[in-house]
Amino acid sequence: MKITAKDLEKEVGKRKEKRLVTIICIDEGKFRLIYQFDKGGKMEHLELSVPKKKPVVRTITKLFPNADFYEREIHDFFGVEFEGNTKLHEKLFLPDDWKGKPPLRKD
Amino acid sequence: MHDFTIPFGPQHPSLIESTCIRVSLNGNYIQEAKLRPGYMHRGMEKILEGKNIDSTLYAVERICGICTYAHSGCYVVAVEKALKDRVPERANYIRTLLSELERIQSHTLWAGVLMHEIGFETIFMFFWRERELMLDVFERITGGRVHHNANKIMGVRYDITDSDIKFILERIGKIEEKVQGYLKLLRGNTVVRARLRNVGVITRNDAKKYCLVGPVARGSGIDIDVRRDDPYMAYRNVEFEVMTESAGDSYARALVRFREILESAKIIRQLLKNIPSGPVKKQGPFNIQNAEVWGRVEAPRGEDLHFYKIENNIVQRAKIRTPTFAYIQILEEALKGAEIGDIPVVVGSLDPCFACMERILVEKDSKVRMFNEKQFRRRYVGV
Repeated sequence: MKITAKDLEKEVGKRKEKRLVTIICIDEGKFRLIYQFDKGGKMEHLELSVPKKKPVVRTITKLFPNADFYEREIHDFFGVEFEGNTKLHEKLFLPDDWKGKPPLRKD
Repeated sequence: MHDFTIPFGPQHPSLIESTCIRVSLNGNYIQEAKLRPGYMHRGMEKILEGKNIDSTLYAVERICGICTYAHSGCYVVAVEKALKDRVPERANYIRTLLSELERIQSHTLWAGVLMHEIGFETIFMFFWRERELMLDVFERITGGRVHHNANKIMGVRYDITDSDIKFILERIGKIEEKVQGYLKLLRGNTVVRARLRNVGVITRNDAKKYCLVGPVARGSGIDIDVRRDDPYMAYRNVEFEVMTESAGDSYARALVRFREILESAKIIRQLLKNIPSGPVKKQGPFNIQNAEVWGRVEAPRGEDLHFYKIENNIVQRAKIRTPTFAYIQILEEALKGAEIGDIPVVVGSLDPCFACMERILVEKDSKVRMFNEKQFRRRYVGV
């Protein structure tokens, strides 16, 4: 299901009883974020896009604490900013003093 | 009493793989634990970009040395969704057989490691001796003990003969007998119970809140298993129970895994009894023009998910969400209030596979070397 970045918190809130499986980011000129939920074996996706020049989206860690690692991974590898995630700037898989560009970006 | 923060890792005799857990201590008790992963990151997702669909199959198997078949199986389950044809049924049975053999292999490895963490070296060696039975089976039917290269798109490489089936059943019988014996021994052993009971407790609420998967979730009473909830390969054709425990401590997680070994043996017997005849592969080449596919399997550690964006048979984006990545965040909660000596037990009872979880190599000599993509590819990928 395609949604806008503004509606993210509301839509994720509607799915509080489901399990957050993962968050995926794809670089296609703009960043496509796919949030994947599961309940009883049935998967559901929420998809939204953020522009590369200003990749900002709200965090969902208040509703799903396990989103923290997924958001930090996407931040480290793509540069997407998840507003409200206090641990966002602690590097997850990259070294603490990594100065290069986010590695999985296509540019 | 002073408060200290000490790093547990990245090099530590109790840790099988490198990772760093920074623990804040009050005397012997842990107040706060912070996981700092990243020491085993190899850049898998980047390496897979630009590979064609046949080469990717070999690369994904090498994400992990313990759950190799899970990744290979997940890849084919995902990619075959983009093809209209159906996989031959005999191939599905062989794939399921390999998945369950791997579950036994992984759980016996884990059992040995856990026993080693609590100092029970004899049982560690016994479990790893029984694990050799599984590795012998893998070698016989696929040619490889650890990396099997058993899968092809739309099938498996090699068929199994009747004498292979007899070989497998003999070894399954041996493993069942031995593991049942060890389980009896461990359940009655005071030291094992003292080290595992009420250590690293994860409540049912926390398990739900953090969306845990696999034996870690099942040890806290969450009834999820991809084999039953979203069946794949030949799991629709076998009957099995999903093992859960309610205590949520290391002992519960241990029991879940032991019982899963015995349940996997039952599944293997059913598969070998009912395996249909027929071909095991379909002739390629296979063409995927434009597809975005997902696949999920129940790896030994839990739900493994692969996502691939494929254009003209080339992988444009690969996303691999391993089970360890899904549940490792609970380590920080599980360690609160534990004693420092419990750290290897709690980490061991979660059975993390850090190699799976992290996917860029960072060389640490005396300086940290950073690579841009061109340098990285030239050095590690060879293109």
